[in-house]
Amino acid sequence: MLNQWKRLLAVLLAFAMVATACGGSDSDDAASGGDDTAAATTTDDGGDDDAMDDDEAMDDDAMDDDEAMDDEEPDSSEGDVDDVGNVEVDEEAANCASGVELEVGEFAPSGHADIGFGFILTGGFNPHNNQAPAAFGYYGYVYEGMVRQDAETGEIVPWLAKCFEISEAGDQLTFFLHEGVTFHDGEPFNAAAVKANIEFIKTAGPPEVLPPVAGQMAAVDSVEVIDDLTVQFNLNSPAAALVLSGLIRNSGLIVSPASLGNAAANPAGTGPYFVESESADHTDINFGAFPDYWQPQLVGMETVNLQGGLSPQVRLDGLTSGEFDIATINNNEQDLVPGFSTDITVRIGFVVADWQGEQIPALANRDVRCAMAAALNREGIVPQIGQSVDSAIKQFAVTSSDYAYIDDLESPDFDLELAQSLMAASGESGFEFSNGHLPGGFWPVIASAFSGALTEIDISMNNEALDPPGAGEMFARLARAQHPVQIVAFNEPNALMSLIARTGQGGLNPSKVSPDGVDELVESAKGKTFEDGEADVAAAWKIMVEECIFIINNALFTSIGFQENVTGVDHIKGIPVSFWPHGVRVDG
Amino acid sequence: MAKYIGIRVLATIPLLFAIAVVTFLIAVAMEANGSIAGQVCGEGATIECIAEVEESLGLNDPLPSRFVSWLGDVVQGDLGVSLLDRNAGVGELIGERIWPSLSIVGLSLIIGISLGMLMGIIAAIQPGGLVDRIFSITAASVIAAPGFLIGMMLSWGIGVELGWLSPIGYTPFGESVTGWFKSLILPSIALGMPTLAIVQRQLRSSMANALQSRYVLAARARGVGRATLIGRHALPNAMIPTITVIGFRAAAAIGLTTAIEIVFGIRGMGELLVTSILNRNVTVLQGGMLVVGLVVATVNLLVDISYGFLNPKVRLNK
Repeated sequence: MLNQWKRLLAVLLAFAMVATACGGSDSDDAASGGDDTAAATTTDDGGDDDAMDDDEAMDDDAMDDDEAMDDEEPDSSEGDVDDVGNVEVDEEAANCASGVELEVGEFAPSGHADIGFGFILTGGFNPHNNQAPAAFGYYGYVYEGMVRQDAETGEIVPWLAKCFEISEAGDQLTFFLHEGVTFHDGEPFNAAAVKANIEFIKTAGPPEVLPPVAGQMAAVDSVEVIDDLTVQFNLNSPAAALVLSGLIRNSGLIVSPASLGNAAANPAGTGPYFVESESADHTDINFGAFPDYWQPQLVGMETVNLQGGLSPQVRLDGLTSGEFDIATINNNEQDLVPGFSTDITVRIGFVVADWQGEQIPALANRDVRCAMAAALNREGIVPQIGQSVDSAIKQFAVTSSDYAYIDDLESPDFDLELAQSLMAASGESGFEFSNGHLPGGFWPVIASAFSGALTEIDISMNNEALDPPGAGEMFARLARAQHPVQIVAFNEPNALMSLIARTGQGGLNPSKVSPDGVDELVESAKGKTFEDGEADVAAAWKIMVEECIFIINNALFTSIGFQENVTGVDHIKGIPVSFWPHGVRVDG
Repeated sequence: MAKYIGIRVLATIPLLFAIAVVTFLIAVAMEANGSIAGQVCGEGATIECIAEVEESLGLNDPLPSRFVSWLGDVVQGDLGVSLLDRNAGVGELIGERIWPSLSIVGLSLIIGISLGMLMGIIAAIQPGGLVDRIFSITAASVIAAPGFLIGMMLSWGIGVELGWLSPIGYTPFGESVTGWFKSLILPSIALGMPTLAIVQRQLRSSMANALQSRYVLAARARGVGRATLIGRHALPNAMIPTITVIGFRAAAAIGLTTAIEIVFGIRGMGELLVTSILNRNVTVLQGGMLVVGLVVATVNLLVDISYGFLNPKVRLNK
């Protein structure tokens, strides 16, 4: 009997130790009876969504955990002001604080890296006025967000926030911030800084903040400072996932409040490197290691020189001759790279923006749209832009292991006879419309190939180069349906953002009407975590593709080449020409 | 001579004014559809922002008053700010970009002129000889090959394959004198080769004529040595048409450096102008064209002045 008591005591003790080590969030929630609040932490030992590659960055010291919990325990009055969800927020705050304490490693950067990019950071280090995905190849040195996208899984995970949680209703997001984070100008990173950033993004307007960037925070009604290290986003709809998707992009990059409105001239973020000097046109930038970085062990290089606006040949020559340690290259040049290379994927396709037929009535006919999809010879186009046949795709996912892969997609392959028969069945013919495309690179090639294919089914698509040329203009035109059909890049960091932005009431859905079932799926996905929402996202994507509203043409593989002596590379999934500079080292 | 130089300098002022007018008008022509304001407001610009910027930049004012205002700023050294980045002054951008271009053009002219003259003189000594034929074929081949092609071959062969010199980039003079010189060698050779070929052909022709002239024959009859005959008697006269060609080449090199800068990944004036055209960055284009025009006018002025030094008749007539 005594032994049984001893065993029970031992089991309880072990359980308590495990619960303490894990922060106890999941088990506590489960024990408390069906709390659905979704939470994520950077350093939850028991979780599988750890943002950091290095488990050593965690601290399991129970004493420190307890102290942190004491320090950051929210005022009980905060729990009184709101509904049950908010009381749970307070519990989560305690769990988050107790489970997370970063191990601060040694600040020992060494070596210098020379990097060559093709992209130019026009407008400088104002993260709010350049939403080109390639800009993240620059921003990542200087700025960080409360959350970011896990390079391996693509999942949205905490970063400057220790953890975040989504309220049960999906209309509140609460972030619990790391302590001791400072901006390059010495100002502390805290809840007030987050609030200042989001409010600036929502109110400043162009040219400081591009409308699409402000749009990423459109669902945020207010930002509330709970305490110095806790900040709560109150949303105007259950759109927590949408806001998180925005926060891993431009709107989530936190600028020192002192630099808001002046970030291009005075860039100050929390990132591992600060801007030491730069040319007036931002094509030649020198970064220095930030000695007060909150995770000093991740600052691997002493100095970095990044040159932008270089031609592909110069980048390749620079890489092969050793002038560059890292450079973006063409996908078919990977064999020439002295060290190793990584592939980065963007999806290119057409959106039938006027699928309601407000400008071109024929486009409201599904047969017409699907005839267009059947006329698109993907395998014939991709070699023209230097891509392999594998890159010809019909859905967002490239392979079955990708996020939101659709197993049973029923969308027409290239079949000209089918296209012609669908057109004949539709009773439509001889209409024309415009398509806007970016002027350089592969864009006009794909657009003109599609135009040529459409002539086979008696449709005339007139291609116009965007002016001014830029991703912002592309999506602005899509939002106002300036072109009934428009070629776009589905290159957002995750499929969810793409889906939500282009369907339902999303800012980039000019019709503000979605096919049956899509709105429900989107609403369902909005309030869920990245993983939990995958099935909804895939289902919604399937409808959009099968209704021939999204006509995806290909995945565009681009590459970054590295010298052999570069280590610690973690490239940002889904964002072209970008990698996290955290942890990257250049030896020798 | 001072009077001659003064007249030439004064004659340059109307030229500069004409450049300013043309530059301004080209920029105005690029303003169609409110692109300037659209550039300032950025991608996805709102109508309100465009209207506000148009007002603040005076884009709605009559052209003459805009020109006077712009010219007044230019005279005071204010070239405005880049439309793509209000923190980047046009003067600052040009200041960063002009030195690589001038360095490449300068060294390319030194290489092209010195080697071209040497080869021209050697070829002229024995017209129709083996050396003359080799030089002539070489010059014809170089003239036929565009500079960027020569640049790409040099970059690949000497830079990438042999690794003797860096195939890309520019090292500022202030950073390292040796590095600066080494970074200029390949682009300057690429840009200087056509100059070399043209100078060689021109000088060979005029030198051959000069060596057949009566005053040279008379000097030879007097027993003047070969070196003195060539250097003191034939060369000054042979140089007058060559100087004209060099003037043209210097002006052309400033334009041709664009392709060379792109091939070698050097950020110079040419690359700045090309990107400002592509981005419709009108203020940068205006400033850049004006500065390039000023440089070309200065080169022409130097050529004119050198005529005066080489040929007394020129300065006395003036």
